[in-house]
Amino acid sequence: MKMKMESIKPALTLDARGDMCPMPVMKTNKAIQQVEVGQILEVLATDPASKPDLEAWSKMTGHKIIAFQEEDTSPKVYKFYIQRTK
Amino acid sequence: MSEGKSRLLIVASRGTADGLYPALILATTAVSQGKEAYIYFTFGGMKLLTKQMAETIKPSVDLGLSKEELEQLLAKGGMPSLVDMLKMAKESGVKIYACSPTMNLFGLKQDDLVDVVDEVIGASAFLQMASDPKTLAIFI
Repeated sequence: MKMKMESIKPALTLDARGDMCPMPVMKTNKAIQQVEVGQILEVLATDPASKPDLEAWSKMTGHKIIAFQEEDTSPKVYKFYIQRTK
Repeated sequence: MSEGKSRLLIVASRGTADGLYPALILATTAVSQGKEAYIYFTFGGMKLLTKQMAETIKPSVDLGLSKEELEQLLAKGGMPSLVDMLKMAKESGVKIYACSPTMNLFGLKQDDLVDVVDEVIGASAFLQMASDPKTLAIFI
């Protein structure tokens, strides 16, 4: 069940716009350790593979994508809210 | 190797940029996903572990880009150089293995190798690692 983005307050924002695979996942994996368990990390990416790749990373690591949004810009910006679970 | 975790074991056998980047990308991503990752560099792939050769690695003809063109495109995408990517992989926990037969072939000594190498191994050690049921072994 995804939450509404507006109601979420991220503890940290990772700007991975312009980065290509595998940088968004690697940076997310590092950044998630910088927030407390339960807190939210915001990730901004333009890599078109960032959604399937971060979803796979979330499945493998257990950290939870609680909201996702595609922004209608050029290039498209993908925005993720990820909760650290452990 | 520790018990329990699943592992990715990659054989990097090509000495070109487009042969080596995929190995490094997959290994570092595997570590991000909580797996253990190992790269076994052999034949051409050993260039990246050799001090005198690491900086000279070019893309293959097949890729259709010059070294400069590829470097520019990668830099635009926030991607490190091969040498930096290798260091990053090592720092993130990827284990780096050098191939002993290749060292014989090219007359390389331990001193000729970059300092990220964890161990020099041969075919038997590789096959033993690859035969573990929790290990996925792939050839690039």
